[in-house]
Amino acid sequence: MTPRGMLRELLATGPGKAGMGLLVALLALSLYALVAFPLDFGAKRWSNPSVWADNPRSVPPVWTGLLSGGRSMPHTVLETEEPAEVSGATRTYRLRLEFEADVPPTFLTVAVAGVRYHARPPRLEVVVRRPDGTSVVLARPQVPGPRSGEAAPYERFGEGSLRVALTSGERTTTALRELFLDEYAADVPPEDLRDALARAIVSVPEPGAPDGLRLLRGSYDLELRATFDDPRDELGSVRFVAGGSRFGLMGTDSLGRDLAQGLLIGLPIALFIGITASIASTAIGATLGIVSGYMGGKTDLVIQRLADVVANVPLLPLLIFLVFVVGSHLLLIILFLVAFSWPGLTILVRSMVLQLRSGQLVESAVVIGASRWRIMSRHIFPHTAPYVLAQMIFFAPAAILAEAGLSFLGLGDPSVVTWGQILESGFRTGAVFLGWWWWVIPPGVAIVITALTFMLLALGMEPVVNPRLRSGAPAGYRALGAGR
Amino acid sequence: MSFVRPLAVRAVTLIGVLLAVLVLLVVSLGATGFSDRMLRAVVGEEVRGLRTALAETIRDPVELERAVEAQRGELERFYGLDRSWYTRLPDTVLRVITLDLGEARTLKSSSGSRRVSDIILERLPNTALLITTALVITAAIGLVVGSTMAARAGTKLDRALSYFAATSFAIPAWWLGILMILLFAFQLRLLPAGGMYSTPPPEAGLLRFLDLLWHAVLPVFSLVLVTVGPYLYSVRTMTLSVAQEDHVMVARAKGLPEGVVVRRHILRVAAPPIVTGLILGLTSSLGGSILIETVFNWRGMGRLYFDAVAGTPDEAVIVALTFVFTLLYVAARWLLEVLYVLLDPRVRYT
Amino acid sequence: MTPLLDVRDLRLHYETPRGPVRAVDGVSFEIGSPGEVVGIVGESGSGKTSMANALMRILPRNVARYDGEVLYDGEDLMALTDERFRKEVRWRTMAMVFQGAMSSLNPVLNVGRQVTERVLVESGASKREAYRKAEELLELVGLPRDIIKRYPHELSGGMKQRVVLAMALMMDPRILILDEPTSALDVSVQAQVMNLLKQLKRERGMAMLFITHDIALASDLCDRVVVAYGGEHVESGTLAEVLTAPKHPYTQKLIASIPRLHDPAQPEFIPGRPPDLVDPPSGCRFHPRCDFAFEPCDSDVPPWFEAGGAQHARCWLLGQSKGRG
Ligand SMILES: Nc1ncnc2c1ncn2[C@@H]1O[C@H](COP(=O)(O)OP(=O)(O)OP(=O)(O)O)[C@@H](O)[C@H]1O
Ligand code: SF4
Ligand SMILES: [Mg+2]
Repeated sequence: MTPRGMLRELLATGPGKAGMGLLVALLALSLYALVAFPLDFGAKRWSNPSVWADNPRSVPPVWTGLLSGGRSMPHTVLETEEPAEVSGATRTYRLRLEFEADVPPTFLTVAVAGVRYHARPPRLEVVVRRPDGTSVVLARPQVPGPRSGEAAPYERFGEGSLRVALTSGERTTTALRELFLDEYAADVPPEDLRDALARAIVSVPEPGAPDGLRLLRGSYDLELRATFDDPRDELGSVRFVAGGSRFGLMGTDSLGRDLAQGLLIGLPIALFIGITASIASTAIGATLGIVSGYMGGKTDLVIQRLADVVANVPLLPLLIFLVFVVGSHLLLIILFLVAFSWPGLTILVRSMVLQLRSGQLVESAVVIGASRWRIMSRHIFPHTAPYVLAQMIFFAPAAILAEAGLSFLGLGDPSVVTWGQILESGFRTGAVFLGWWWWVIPPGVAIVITALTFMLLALGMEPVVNPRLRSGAPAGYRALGAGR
Repeated sequence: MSFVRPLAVRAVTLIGVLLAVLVLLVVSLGATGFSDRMLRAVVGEEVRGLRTALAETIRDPVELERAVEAQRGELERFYGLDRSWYTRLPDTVLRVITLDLGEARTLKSSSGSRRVSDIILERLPNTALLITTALVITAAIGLVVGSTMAARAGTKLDRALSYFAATSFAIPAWWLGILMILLFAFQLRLLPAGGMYSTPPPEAGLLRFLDLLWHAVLPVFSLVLVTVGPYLYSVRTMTLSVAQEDHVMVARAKGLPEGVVVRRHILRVAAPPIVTGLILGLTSSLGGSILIETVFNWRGMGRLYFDAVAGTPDEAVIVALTFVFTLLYVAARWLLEVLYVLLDPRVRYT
Repeated sequence: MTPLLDVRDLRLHYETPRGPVRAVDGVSFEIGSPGEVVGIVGESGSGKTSMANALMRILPRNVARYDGEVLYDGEDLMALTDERFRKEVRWRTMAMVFQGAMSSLNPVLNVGRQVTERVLVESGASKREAYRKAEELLELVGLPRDIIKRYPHELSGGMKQRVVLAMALMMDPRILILDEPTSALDVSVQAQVMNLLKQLKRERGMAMLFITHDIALASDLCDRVVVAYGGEHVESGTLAEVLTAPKHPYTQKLIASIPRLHDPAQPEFIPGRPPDLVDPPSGCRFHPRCDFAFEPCDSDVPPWFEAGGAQHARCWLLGQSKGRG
């Protein structure tokens, strides 16, 4: 059967169509991922916590807000380089946060970057002006002073910034307690405040409300006031982050990593594993099968014994062992997968070759003096091709699932992002028991869809491989009375 | 008897498998320097103990150091550290084959034993319970549904079934386990999320057993759900292809009741490959137990393997378990061979 | 006198994507009395097996049309329910030896089981009795007694054919249908089986329907012959009539194609291809291959014409000669 014929036959089946469609979609998506993300994304970004520091942690995807009703807090990053106000030595950087949500931000941080001073470090003060006119000083971040032997001007936070969490710590607690006492004459016990600082910043005290706090909606001005000693002193940028109660397309994990990115980059890797492993395994399996069947004799015996042994080895325990002992590089994992998976095809192809060898086609090729290699590749291989192809398609999901299992056990390649690893970190962090479904369901769904794509193609290949089942309604079974 | 020979031939192959795996284990441990590191750690630990013991009697630090070094040399020779790993190979292989599995570094059995064989033996029944229960359920559903579906080949239901089979194969059991926990343990709070017994565990007896079953529901269900799809599809296809054979038509023409035709002339003939599928399912869930037991914190061999790999690696346990898994695997394969010989007269005489 | 078996206008069509296959398209014939052997002769694909299956009600799933009358001792078997048909007709009234004995036996059951099982599903059957009868029959067909414990893969093709034959005799059927019982066997075994059949006819008065593509073989056993072509029957008569004076051009070709030992003339081959049963030729189905085809042949379906004695044929040539003479 020609490749074209096979494709036509494949596309004639429902599963074949569905599988092809999915495969094309997955390939397109992974092409996008490869273009959009650097190749060292896994090593350089995914496993680097500072990349994700501004993200809220363990929050569900944005779209869940649509389902749950209520206004969720959008993740808000506000940044400025210009002071809004300059009075004397003090420059005020002001950013406005419109707070209209039904839940408070998950956190509030300020980050200052690019400080340069000539004598003494600038004095910083973070102030929140609330919609009802009240205001509170939440923090006084310290810029480190000159070190001995260092010459002016002193540069601080050129790379990385001075980050201060405004929603934790004793200082904020005290400041808010005083605010509530002074402005609302409410004495909120510090123990209550301490666990609800983010909520307290955007609330007014109200007995009876949850936590004793009622959300105060409106415009909040977040200010950073910097007082400089020297007019030449500079401040690069100020950034306020109000942590959203939901984030991105797929939410975040406990490090604030954007799961949508992890899921997307996991796709080309999964496809790479599945396709590489299955091509290598089928190539080896088919070649050995043809050689074994066609050469016969000692070669055959050796290959058969080897296949027999390898076919009876427990795959997963050995994989775990080898990856554990030898190493967990992605290519190594693929190598191990291939090393244990070729015998099935070898045995199948060999038996087909034995049948073919005695057939007329090959005999006549021998008569006209074709070389062995030519006979094997031109006359024998084409007959086994549908089976080889079916096996190849079938092996891809097996490889993907095996790698996912390894990753889930913590044996994945740390330099790449795989769905199995995302699941592993989710499971280890207890996402399952905390109900953080967005961390553990989508990666699994991604695995299933990818594996299913190949399974559907395999299903579609069935009529090609097994013509007896082609018509779908074979004669024979339940013949009794069918006609009446 | 006529079927001794094929079984013996098969046994030889399978023993070959066992040996090959063992050599692979030992070689990869040796060649990567793993085995040296393992032994050094053991020696180091013993030397530390010795030093404290010797310090009681020998006061002079130089003298003490010399005595300790002498002991260390002795120990290294004892463990074969003075030789290269491949000269130790035959010894190690022999030891493991005689099931002398050594001592665990950190893991212990519940009775506190450090002997790896004790630890494994304690876990074995738990794994056996889990996977055989799942297997029995899978077999029952697979046989009944698969053979009835064969009669409806080509119908909508049949097509739906093939999609189910493909999906079922594409789902990792361990992830399904996670879903189950999320749904039944976290969301609905119907079933326990993991472990084998409630805390505190009920007193021994029926209640304790029921508690165990209660905890086994989710892991078993997860296992069954992923194995039953492919299995019933293969039963269906196998039955279908036998049903198309001529002898079935003859059986019908003879005037046998349809039930007899299906049982004796279709299912019975399809039995050898069907049983093969079942045993292969058993062997694959043996490996899969590592994952599913990890998810459900089921204290079987699989969970033990995970514990030995994660955290502080326990090499002795890893080697021993890999070997035991292979042993069980090979045993299952041989069982398959025996069943095959019993079921199919054609292989008896070859 | 009512014939033993009277088949009238039997039809069996199969559903295919191209349209219905008219494998059996209104055939009629009879077996007059016990001991009579009727041969059905026709090339491959002419619907012989389909007709036998139709008689036994062995139908695939893709049946498009199945009707007609099958009168046994005057009773229409087609009217029976499936359950009654199974119990009363199968293996009792009619037993069948299927084409391809190689695959007719269940590979995992021993011979004894398979030969006796039909008897043993009857209520009140004795196992000992059944096995005794099986041994007797196996001996009758020339097999050693110990074959009862053997499995099919241990038997040669000829042995299997005999087992299948013995199996068919277990319920003492009134009519035995034999679908190419010898075509897979080598010549000497073929002769043995033929002798066996003759013995059955002679000694047991067994009525038979002997299906073959080999008219020479049919001549060895049959009393009457029916020639099948393209899902229809085209000629019937006594063996002597059909063999010595074939009236239908197709029958003539069939007989001319028999290789003759002492005749220097080369056996003739029938040119052209067998008709497509989905879209059979109009008029006489044989007309595209017929040397004598003339004006009515491609448009009008020839009816049965009497040709003297018991002989009948469906060919316009007969109508012509009649009209003229
Ligand atoms: N289940 C079926 N569905 C569709 N077509 C069928 C089916 N069974 C048989 N046929 C077709 O019906 C025609 C008659 O087949 P049948 O087996 O009855 O012929 P035959 O005379 O017995 O041939 P042979 O001598 O080769 O056994 C053939 O063209 C065959 O392809
Ligand atoms: S009817 Fe015409 S075509 Fe048909 S066999 Fe007679 S002569 Fe030939
Ligand atoms: Mg036939």
